[in-house]
Amino acid sequence: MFSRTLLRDRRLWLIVLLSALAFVVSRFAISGSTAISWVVNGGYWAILAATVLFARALWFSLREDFRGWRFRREHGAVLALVAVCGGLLLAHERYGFKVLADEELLVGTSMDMHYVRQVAYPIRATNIQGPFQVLQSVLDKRPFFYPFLVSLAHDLTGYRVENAFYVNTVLGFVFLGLAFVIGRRLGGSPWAGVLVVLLFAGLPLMAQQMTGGGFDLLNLVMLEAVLLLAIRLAERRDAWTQEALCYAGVLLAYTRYESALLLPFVALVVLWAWWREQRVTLSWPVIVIPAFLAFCLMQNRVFSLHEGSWELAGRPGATSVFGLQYVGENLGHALGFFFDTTGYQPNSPFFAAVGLLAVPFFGLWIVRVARTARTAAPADVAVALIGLGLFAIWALLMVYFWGQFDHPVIHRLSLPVHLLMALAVVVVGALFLRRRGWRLAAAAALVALVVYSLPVMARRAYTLTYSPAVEMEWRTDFLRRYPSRDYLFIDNDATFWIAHHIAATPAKQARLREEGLVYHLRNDTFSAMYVLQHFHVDPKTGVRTLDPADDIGPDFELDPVWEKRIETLFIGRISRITAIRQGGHVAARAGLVVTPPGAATPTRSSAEWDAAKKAYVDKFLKQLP
Amino acid sequence: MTIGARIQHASATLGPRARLLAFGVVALASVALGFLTFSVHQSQYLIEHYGYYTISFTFAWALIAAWRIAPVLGAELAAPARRERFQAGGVIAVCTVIAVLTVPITYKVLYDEMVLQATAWDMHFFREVKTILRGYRVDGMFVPFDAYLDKRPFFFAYLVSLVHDLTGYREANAFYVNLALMPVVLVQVYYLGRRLAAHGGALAAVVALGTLSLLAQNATGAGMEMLNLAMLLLTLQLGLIYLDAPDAPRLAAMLLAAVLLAQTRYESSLYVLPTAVVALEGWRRAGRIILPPSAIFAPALLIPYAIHNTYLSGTPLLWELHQDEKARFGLDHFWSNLHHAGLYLFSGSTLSTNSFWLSVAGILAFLFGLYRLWRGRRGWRTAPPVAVGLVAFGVVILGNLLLLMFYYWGQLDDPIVARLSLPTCVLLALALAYAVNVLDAPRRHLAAVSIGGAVLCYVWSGLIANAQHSALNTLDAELAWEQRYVASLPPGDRLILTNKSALPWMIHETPAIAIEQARHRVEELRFQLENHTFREILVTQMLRPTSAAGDYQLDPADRLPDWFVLQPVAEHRFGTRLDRVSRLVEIQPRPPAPPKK
Repeated sequence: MFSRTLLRDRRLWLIVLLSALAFVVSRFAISGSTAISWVVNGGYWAILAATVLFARALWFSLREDFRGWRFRREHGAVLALVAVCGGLLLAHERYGFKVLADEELLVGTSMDMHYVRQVAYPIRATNIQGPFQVLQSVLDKRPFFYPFLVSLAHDLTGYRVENAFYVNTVLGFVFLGLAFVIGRRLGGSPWAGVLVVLLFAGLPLMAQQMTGGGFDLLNLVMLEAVLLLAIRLAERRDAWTQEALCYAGVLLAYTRYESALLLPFVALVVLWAWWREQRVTLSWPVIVIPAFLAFCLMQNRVFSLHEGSWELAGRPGATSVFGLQYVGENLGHALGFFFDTTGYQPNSPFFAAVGLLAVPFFGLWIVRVARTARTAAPADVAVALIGLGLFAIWALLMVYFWGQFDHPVIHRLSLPVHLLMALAVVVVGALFLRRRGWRLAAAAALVALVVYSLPVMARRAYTLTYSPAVEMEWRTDFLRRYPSRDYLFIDNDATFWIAHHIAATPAKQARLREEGLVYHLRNDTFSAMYVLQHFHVDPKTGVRTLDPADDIGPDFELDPVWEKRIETLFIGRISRITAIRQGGHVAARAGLVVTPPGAATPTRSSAEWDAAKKAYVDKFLKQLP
Repeated sequence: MTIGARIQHASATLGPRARLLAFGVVALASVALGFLTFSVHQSQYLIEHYGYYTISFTFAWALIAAWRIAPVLGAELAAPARRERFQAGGVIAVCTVIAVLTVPITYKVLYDEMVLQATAWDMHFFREVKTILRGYRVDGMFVPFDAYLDKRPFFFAYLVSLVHDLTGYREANAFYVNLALMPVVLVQVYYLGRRLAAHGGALAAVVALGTLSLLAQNATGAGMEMLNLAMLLLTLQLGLIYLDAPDAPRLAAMLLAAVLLAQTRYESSLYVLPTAVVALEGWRRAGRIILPPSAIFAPALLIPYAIHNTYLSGTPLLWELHQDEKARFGLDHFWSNLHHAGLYLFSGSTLSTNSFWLSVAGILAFLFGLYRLWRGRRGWRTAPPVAVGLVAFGVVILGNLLLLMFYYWGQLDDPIVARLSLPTCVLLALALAYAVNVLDAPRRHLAAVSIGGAVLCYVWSGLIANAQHSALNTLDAELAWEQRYVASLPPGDRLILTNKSALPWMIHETPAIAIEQARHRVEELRFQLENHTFREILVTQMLRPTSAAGDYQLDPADRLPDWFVLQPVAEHRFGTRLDRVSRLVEIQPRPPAPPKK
């Protein structure tokens, strides 16, 4: 009966047609370069529209609730809990980039979104005309909802790299607040909410994310939003909530690659709601959703255009991106991560223990709900479907070639799994525990937080042993000591400097564009030129060997400025270029520009000055390394 | 009985004819004193020495007049519903906070703003309307040695000096005054909008103006535009309050606001005309002549403006004419300026401070308003006060814009000139409120559409312009770098020989003279150098590229004679130019002049 209703609905056919069209156009009808160009130039406006539509739908969905809302003492207690737990997470960690390249590129994309409204990160930029100008940008493979939010922060408060960290700090508090709501809602007791908040407050990984520039915390917040909206839709089945849920799903897909996996489960929740109502509810913003998702599909073509995007080379022995052969090893690494007690992993063994204990029961509960879908409570159906989505994400991570949770770069991928475990704890706990039980569980979580997590967070061993993060802190220290920011940096991690409005280029580019560096050194374009290099120390002889990737060639005379031992046998050094030789002779030397002494220089007309300026700017831009 | 009360009493005892006669006598005497009696030199002397006291007197009188109508103003402010006030306040706060956070708080119009700062400095310390040219620290006190009367009206400088008086001298006070004026302007736009439209329309006007990058730029600068705008809106607002129920206190408040407005910007004296029209219309509506003492003496309060104008007209050096220009206004500038105005108003560039939405929707709304005005022209006798006020002031705002089109430096797309379009932008925003209100229907949601359009344009280009526009002004960045560099040196007195204006150094109480002046004061410099009056003498110069390869050359205008021995100590690139700071090491004996052929 309902299937007939579905088949007869023209709007549904329209959405199917649009989906097919979006898929064909984004994947096949247009070339890869065209797809990328569309994402670069249109992506900002698409995400802006999606965000506005989400906010609009959310507002209309929640408006009635707000009208009846009154501040009570319990709300104050929850706010205090979230504030204290968030404060604990912030207390020991330093603001900065935590995952090399990923976070810098996200900030780079936010920079382009802020300055030129393009979804790309800058690789060449200048201020030769006064204002900051992006000369060349590249589309990143990473979904761009997080850079968009950071660019909004830039728009509203002025550009600064730290906005990326501040956005995550705010998201951290929002996450804890929503975690309480989920815990309370599914556990049936405020103490269940307290337990969930304490579990996450005791997870050092959260502290890293709240002070870093990654998109994982936003991913968690959007997962929570999808879960809560799915429950709301299942219970209320109104058009505004449906629209809000659909756009939360769209924005989730714009947040992290694998989160798009949740979209079918969101669609199932919507279909279930239609089935319960025996009618189809479709508004125009929902019908046009395929157009928004087309941008995700088009961006995904970066992977086919640039094979290196998968970073397979980073894991020797890996032959394919996904495969069942990785499952055993990945599960071992996951257990190693969850139950490590050395403090070198940003984990919480208590969280892992109760979570992994609850997860199988949660799976059984999902099966039970699926069997009784006709009579099950609406909220249970929604939780079961979204829970299945989280299981799917975990499964995908386990077949991923780089899915080792105990790797410093991969720790953060365990966050959705932690959310799944928290969900399992409250759903399963609700079957057994009453108020006193929840209190005891919350007390145990508090003890674990105090006894284990706080000292681990204070020691920060998991950060200090990850050399790229240590280097990032070193670079940040350099910025503090040399705040003028009018120098050029030769560093293979050039995006870090560019994001701080400092000219930068990789070592290889410097080798290839030596002529340009001579030109700029001679003309005093930059107050100084620095090069960041790494040396490996032979454990037997103590001899230092320059990392070949940092070698800029023998023509550069260097004056070491700052050296730092990053690891026991790995040293970083920042040097100032004092001269560049060509053909055995010094072609340019650092210092003030030399002007011809003696007789007065000729006066030029303004037209002559302008012509000279134009010629200089043209060559200046060509000579930028 | 106080003097004010005595005047009030005397005035009240006079009949309407006598008061009219008194007004005529004062007006004639004012014209004679302002324009005909004093020479350029005498005018300069009078303003320099008595300008501070005349503006203080006018300002104090205006405050008293405002105090007298405080209950009316309070009722006006409380007229909208509480929820509407809360929403409007929120929108205004958001617009202001975004402007504060996204636009660098720096000088936007160099030298103009510096001159105002320097005038405020002199008013604060010496109660004179002068701009310092040379100053030195003598016995610990920084004393001006040379100063001149600037061409700019000095109400803004006076207000800044007042803030200095009340909170202590600091350069930032001028910026704080302007920042505070942004919500003042937007609040007034809201209340004027409410006279034209319902809450939604008024909010549309506020958002249209609040998302104008040009307004944000001026609110974060140290210029007089924000005060001019605030005073213009205040005068209009007071005019409408007067027309609501014409009486003496309301007329006094409007007239005194107009007198202060006339002393805020050069061309703002033109607003005396619509103020007079509104005053006369009030008489007609009340059916009697209303002439309080402030009205009788208003022409006398404008005497300082007239004397200042006499000085300006007689001092062509202050006109800042371009090379080969002989007059400030000319017909031949019209088409070119109109073209530039079009380029500015409809620009989509992210470096331009316009609002595409305000220009397009505002002009359409303005044309619609004109059409409605034309259709309703026969009912002018019973037209609502807001129609009368807006027509009277609108004509002068547009007249000012028209006048600008004939001005030799009236290209609106020039960052220095764009600010002159602010009153027109306010007019367009108010027209938008009116059109939204008249054309709206339950299913149209025109207010929301208008607000959405303005916000979209802000996201499209305005927010980027907020961040980037001021970077076009590399001169300000050069000055800031020079001052940062000097501040980083070990403590001690320094003399700066600058290739720019000495003013930025003076307002920091650092002695400075222009390089041009240094060339003529060689012996004095040699004396100070030999006597170690200063810890060091620093010279700022500019180098420019002369070819694609660079081949930097010292700007000939910045060159000191060859017997000045300089040691370069720091250099920084700004755009294509290199800003250099050198230490004056020695002044060698001047070589004998070559024999004349």
